[in-house]
Amino acid sequence: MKKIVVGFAMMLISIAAFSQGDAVTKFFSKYQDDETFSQVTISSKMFSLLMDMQVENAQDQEIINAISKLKGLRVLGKDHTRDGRTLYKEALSLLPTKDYEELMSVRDDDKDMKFFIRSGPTAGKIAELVMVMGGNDDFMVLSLFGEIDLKAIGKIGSKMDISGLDHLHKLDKNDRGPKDGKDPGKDTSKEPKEDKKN
Amino acid sequence: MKRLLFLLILAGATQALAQTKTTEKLDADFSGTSLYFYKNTLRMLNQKEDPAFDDMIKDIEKIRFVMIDRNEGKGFSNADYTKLKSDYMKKESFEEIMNGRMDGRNLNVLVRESGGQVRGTVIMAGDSSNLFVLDILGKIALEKASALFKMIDENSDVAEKFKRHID
Repeated sequence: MKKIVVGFAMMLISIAAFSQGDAVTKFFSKYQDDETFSQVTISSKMFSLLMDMQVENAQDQEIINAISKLKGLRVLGKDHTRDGRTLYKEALSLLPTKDYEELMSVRDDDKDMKFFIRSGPTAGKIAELVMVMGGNDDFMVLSLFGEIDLKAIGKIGSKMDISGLDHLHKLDKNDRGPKDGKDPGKDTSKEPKEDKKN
Repeated sequence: MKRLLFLLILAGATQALAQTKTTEKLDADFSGTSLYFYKNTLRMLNQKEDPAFDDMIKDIEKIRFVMIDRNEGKGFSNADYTKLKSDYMKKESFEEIMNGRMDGRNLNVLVRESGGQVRGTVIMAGDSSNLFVLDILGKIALEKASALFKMIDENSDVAEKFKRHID
């Protein structure tokens, strides 16, 4: 969570169609005023301002273009807590499986991470990416919403200085789409000791 | 007729250079320090002549940096913090683009646009002891804002000299 300097590198616009799912909003609402939690919220306006950034190459421009379609980012986390696993389970239990599809699961040292996506109205695009991470002494839930191109998500993740999100670069190799009949990408570089099925 | 035109231009220029009233009121109502940085004085901070810093300040006309000791005088409560942000948004048409809380520190970033361009940026940062407000006339590349805070912090002696100069 300390890594959440959130490189000020994202921006967006709020439209009802792209708003967060109720379950995620409910979880944020429950804990966002609890000062033992860290939280970051970035609006669509900030993402749109990123369009003014000067970029050095076409690849960066591609990332900026992808980021400019984001509508918002919310992060809620807690460090140095014994409740990491409990909060992780609570967050997962609140995600309605009919709306969210598991994209990837990762076990990194003592941390479990699950990435979920919610399909958008446009084919090949997703409306929301949710990451839930829980460890022995920390917890984080992140919601990134807007029009998200799954093909660019790995690059977006690598540009955001947020712990855990860097795992999304693995999707560049897998490149799977939502609800298209293919299995969601799975981190195989660090063989999961346990793969909990949602 | 020329005189009228001149007065209108002068009035326009004065308005353009005005600081937000909310920041002025904050400085007047609470104990603390207020520093002004114009483009030339911001360049003075760039003692290492870092081109990235010059790039960072190129669209900034003026900065007012206010530091409030939250425990001095009548104190600056959390309710005051909330009201301050509300005043920027409701009275001065700022829009919040980011907020965060970490390790007991709060951060809020607000911008004001006109004609599709960012004309003003306010960054509020605080903990239980201090409140820092950076009121920027113009715009700063937001991904570089933390570097500006760092530069001001590292050059506090320059800032102090400048403060004495303008007092």
